[in-house]
Amino acid sequence: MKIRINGEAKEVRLNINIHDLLIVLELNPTQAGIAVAVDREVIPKTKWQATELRENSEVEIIRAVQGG
Amino acid sequence: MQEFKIADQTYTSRLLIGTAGYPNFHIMTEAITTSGAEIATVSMRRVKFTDSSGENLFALLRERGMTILPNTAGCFTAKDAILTANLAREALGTSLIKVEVIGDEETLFPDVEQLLSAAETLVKDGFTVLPYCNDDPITCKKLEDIGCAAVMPLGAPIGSGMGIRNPYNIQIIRDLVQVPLIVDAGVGTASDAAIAMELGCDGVLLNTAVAKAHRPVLMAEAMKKAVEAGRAAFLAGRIPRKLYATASSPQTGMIE
Repeated sequence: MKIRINGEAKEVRLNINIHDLLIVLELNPTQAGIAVAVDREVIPKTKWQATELRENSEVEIIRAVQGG
Repeated sequence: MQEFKIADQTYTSRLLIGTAGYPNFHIMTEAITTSGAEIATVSMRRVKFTDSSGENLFALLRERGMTILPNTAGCFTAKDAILTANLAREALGTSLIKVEVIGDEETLFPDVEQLLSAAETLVKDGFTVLPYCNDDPITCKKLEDIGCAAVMPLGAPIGSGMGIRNPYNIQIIRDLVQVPLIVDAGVGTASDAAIAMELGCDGVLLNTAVAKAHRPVLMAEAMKKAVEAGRAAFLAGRIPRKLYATASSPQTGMIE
C-alpha cells in the first residue's frame, strides 16, 4: 500500500505497524530521540507495535536537530 | 529572585545557548562547554534518511548532562506548534518547550494571537512553557497569567544582532512579571547580554551571536562573562544617571 513518510510517497506492505516501518527504514526503534506522528497525532513509543498504518497514512518521523 | 529556577530545577548559569549555525559540530560542542550554559535549545525536524553523519545532537547534550530545550521554530500556527511540542515531548522525554509561533518570515516576529493560544493549550497539557514573545509588557503578563514558566521577550529580531532595542519595555516587563524573564533573540555581542542582565533579566538566550562570531568559542566565553557581570551589576545596583558631574575626589584640603 502507499503511504507518505515525511512528505514523500512510499510503498510499504499492507497494514505495517510503526515499529516494523522503522526497521524497514533502517531506523532503530529503540533509539532515543525520535518521535512519530500519524495523521498529525503523536503515537507514543509504547504503541508502535500495535499501531498499524493504513493506505494514505501521513507519517512524520522527527528527531532533534540543531536549533536556536 | 537570587536563584535561577525553571520548573523546580535550579541552574547556576543564566546563559541559555542555541545549537544552530556553528561552523561545525566540534566548534559547537566547544562553544557550548565554554559558555557554561546548562540549557541548550534544539529544533524538531524530519529525520533525513540520507543522513550518514552519525552526529546525534540529542545524545551529545544528554551525555553532558544539559537540559534540552526543544523549540517550535518554523511554526506559523498554534496548531503546528502544539504538534511539534508533543513530538518533542515524546522524542526527548521532556515537558520543557520553547514555544515560538512566527507571524512573518522577514522579521520572524511572533504572532501574539497564535502564541497565546498555543501557550494556553500546552500549559493545560502539562508542558513547561517558555514562550518566545514580543517585548510587549501586556503580552508577557498574559503569558504569565496563562501559566507559562517564564517569559522570553526578544531584544531584537532573531539573528539581527541589534541588541536590546527597547530596554525600557524590558524594564517594565521586569516590574510586571514574577516568573523568570529571559531575553531571547537579538543579542549581537557581550555588552548586549550584559545590558539585558543589568535590566534585571534572569537569563539570556542566544545563538547566532556565538555561532556566527569569527571565533565562536571566544565569543561563548565573552557571553558567559557578560551575563555574570550584568547580573552582578544588577544586584549591586547602579548609580542614578545625572547630566552633570559630581566630583569623586575630596573637595576639601586642596593646596592653595
